[in-house]
Amino acid sequence: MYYSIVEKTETAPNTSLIKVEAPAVANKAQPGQFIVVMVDERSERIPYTLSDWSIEDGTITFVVNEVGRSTGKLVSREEGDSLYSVVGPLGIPPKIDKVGTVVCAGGCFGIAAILPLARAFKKAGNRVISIIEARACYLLYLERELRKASDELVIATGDGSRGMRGFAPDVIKMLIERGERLDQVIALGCTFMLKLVCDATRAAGIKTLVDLCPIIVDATGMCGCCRVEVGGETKFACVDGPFFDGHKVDWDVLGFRKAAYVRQETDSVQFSKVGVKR
Amino acid sequence: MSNHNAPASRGRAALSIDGKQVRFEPGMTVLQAAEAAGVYIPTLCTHPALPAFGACRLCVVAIEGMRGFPASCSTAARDGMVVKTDTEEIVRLRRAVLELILSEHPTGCLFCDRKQECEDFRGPGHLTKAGRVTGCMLCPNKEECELRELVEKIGLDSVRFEPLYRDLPLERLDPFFDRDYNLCVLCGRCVRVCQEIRGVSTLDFVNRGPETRVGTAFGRLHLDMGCQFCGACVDVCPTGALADRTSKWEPPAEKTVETTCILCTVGCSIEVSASRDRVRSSTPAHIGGVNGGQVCVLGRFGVAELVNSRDRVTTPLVRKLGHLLRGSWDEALTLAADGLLRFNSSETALLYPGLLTDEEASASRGFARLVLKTDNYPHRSRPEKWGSFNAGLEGLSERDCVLLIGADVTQTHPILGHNVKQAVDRGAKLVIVDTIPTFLDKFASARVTAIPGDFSWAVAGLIWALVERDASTERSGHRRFKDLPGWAFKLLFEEIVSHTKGDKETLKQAADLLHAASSILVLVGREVGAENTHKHFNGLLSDLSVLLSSRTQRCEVCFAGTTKDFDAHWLKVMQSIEAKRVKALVMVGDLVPKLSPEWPNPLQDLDFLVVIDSHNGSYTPYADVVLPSATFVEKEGTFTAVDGASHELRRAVSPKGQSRPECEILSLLAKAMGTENFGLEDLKSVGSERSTNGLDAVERDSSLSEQPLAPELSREEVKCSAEWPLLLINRHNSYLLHGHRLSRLVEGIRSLCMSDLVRLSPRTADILGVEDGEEVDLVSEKGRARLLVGVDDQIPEGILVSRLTAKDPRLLALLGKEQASFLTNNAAVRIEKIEGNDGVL
Repeated sequence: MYYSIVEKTETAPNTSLIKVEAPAVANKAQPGQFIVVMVDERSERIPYTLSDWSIEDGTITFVVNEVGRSTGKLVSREEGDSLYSVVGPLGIPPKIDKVGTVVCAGGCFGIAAILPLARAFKKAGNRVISIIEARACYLLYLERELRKASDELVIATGDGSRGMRGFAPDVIKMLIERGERLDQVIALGCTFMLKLVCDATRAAGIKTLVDLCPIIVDATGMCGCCRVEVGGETKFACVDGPFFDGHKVDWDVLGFRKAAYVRQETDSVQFSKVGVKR
Repeated sequence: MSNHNAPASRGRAALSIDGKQVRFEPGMTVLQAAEAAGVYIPTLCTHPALPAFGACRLCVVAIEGMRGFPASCSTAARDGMVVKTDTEEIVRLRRAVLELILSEHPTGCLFCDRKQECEDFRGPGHLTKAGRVTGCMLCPNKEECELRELVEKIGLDSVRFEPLYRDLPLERLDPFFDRDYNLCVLCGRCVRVCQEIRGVSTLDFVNRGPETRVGTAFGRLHLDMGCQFCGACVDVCPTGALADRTSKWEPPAEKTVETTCILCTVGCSIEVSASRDRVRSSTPAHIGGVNGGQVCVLGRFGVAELVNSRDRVTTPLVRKLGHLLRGSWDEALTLAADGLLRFNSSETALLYPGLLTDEEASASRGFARLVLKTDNYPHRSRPEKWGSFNAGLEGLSERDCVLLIGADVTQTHPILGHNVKQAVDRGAKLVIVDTIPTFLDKFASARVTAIPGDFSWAVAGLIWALVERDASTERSGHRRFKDLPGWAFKLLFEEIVSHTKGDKETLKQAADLLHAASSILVLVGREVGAENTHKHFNGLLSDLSVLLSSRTQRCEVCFAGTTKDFDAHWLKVMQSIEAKRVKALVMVGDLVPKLSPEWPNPLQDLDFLVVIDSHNGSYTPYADVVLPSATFVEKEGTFTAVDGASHELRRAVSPKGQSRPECEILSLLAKAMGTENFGLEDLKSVGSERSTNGLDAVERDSSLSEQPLAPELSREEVKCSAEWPLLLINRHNSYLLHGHRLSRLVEGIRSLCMSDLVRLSPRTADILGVEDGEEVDLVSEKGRARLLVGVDDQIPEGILVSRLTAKDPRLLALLGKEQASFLTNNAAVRIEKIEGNDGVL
């Protein structure tokens, strides 16, 4: 089976939207689930949350941020190239119930990942407020789609070039201040953003689900690389998650474990030829 | 201008800056005067190495009596000036200028309310290794970002305009550095350093108005634009637009050590920065040194990759039951000592590379002489003759004329080439005599084309033109031509002209320039001797030297780094190994031509091989004992450079793994072999030979010129014929570290040094029916070699130019095994297309 790339666009600087032919994954996918991609036979296994899929076309869409050698290799592939393997859908999808008002917060690659969740929560009859954050206006994407999928879209940028100045936690504080009753918050993005979102909702006691992204290798619960500490218990993000109660996550352990291979990662970029075609 | 505030200066001019009296030296700008006095004026486009440009307008000031707001970087300081740098209007103007500059730089990098929190969470130096830089946590230049510094100093916290991301493609297809012009603020430093300091002009501003950006002509790769990858542009960039690929994601430097680069013989001062005992990058030392703040591709990008290479030998290896296994130092030393002691002294030999520190060179010789007690080691047969080049390379810029005879110094000694170019910038005249085009041609006032394979005619032509000149202008007074010890006078000028490609006028022009100069440096290329019947050529050079010395105050004629004696001895050792006279060998480095089908393993007949090396080489797998040695940034020592100057090597990081400096290894091995007296004092007795890196002065010795007469001058070493119609000229690729080709150890050097290419002119390619990039066989009388065709419109017709290392098996195959490549460099060849090869690869 060949997972050929049907479409690839750099939607924002450093952020590529990749659509791959993978009918078996598309058939079973649910909002919030992820896949594991290998670019070639010797490649690292990289997890990506699905941002869209189509059973009719047999395609899945995910967003790749170039952050190192493997992701660099992935974004250097063009339309028509194929990937070595795509495994999925993986992970336990979050429960989509009618709870009232749901906030979907996304930053970075998370902007794409909250799209199916926002759609699903809205379909379940919730009032959906989507928050997207970026350092500056030109890093935002999928704005139109998210506006359509949610009842309200709030934009925050770090430099204030679009929407309010600040980030998702500041928006949540603003929503609480304006008297919004938030029943659930679901956040996807970098670990630092998730932590700050949890800090913002903790005081108000709002249920907060976060999509943790530790280092994942096999994604079937065998290797244990994705160990995270939630509520004092060790969990495997790949099979027990990736969604966990954000207020119970030990962020320091997660941050520490994520940095376990910094030396090797730096080496691999130093001695690799990402982007060097000749 | 009112001079009421003019101070009663004590002979020095002064101006007032913000009410403060500031003295200045003549020639200083207002900005320099302010900086000297400690008054801060923000700037972006100025750089200490570059002349004033006045592009960024951040350094605007108000000067009494001058209209508008002049840029202080390009306004000369004058006595009695009254300068204001911080009026409300200037501050407002400056903020607006910075806002405009930043509107085209990712603002996410600079304005962020949770920067501190984010840094604390991620930990220091933990950057996201992104492709495009869109924030401070993704920026390899974060620690030294000048924009960030400016924003903090000026106190800006937002930009009024909507930021524009230019969305230019990343440029990552060139070796060594990545370019992200989305971060560029068009300060023009890189363009100016490339054009004005390095004289390369790979970079320039392209397009106009809002579309202006920095780039190469037609957006082509730097590789195709003659970029030398010196990294000067990377070092002056105030943003992260240009980033060194090797070090960009390394943790910030914990220490920097100033040391000397020994990848060639110039002896440039470099600064090696390290973090966690690992080399992250090497940059030119800002002040001092022969290189004056500049460095070449090897010193800039080669060092870190060489030292951190995965090809390093990190533990001693010993052969046990036929297998080469890891062992301890004690075990390896005992095994090596026992092995070597099995042979009597005439059966042992030692090979060591030319580029070593003085201590290592003397320890290597000492080991051969005192411990192995053998004569089988490369050494100079006559004492080192140091030329009068001892003025030092720094003195080069004081010359008012440089004559290069077949010396492509930009390739062999890159920084020497740069120094020549700087001398030209200061008004010196450059005369080049060469067969093939060189980088410095564009700076030359006269260029004499030598006939391929023989420089003698061109030198004879110069001598004639000089004498003719005397005869026509002054008639007497100067030395007559017939007084010369040489024999060129037996030739007719017309005959000489017909044998040089240069016409009479060019020779006369060159002679005029040489005549007018008061201080001349003549550099003769390393391979020139090999391209001639050497004796004739030396005689002519001697004549030229006499002639020039008679009319100038100062004239030196030097060979740029010959190692002829050294190589001849190397050949002798190799022959002894082949004749099985030598049975045990200690090899420091990787000094025997690489294994290839054309060149059977020359060391196969050895009974015992000890390799002392920092990297895995072609003979490591065949060794009986391998002792890991440290690289030059991991040890201390002194290094004698090409001009005879001594430079200090300092240790920047500890030796990788269990490796040790070569001196230490040799003295441990000596001890294991029972030689106790192997100290510094003992080594002194071995002789006062210095390392073999230097320039040889041409001897002004009349005996040299008692050589065969004119008719033999036209005898070419290599004759082309119908069967072998093309002349191959090899200019040695000198990118070596202890015999290892740097192109193997450093990724980017491979694409840069064209080590697999044979270059020829488009017309020659047409006639032969070969295309650019096609693989062909070169066939000479002696053998054949496979190379890639590179079509180059700079190459004269009928000539093939290659850049193989002196001991490349392909070169040796073409020249003949017995004819070592340093004795001749040329071969008459033909090109054969490869059967079944459908052209371009």
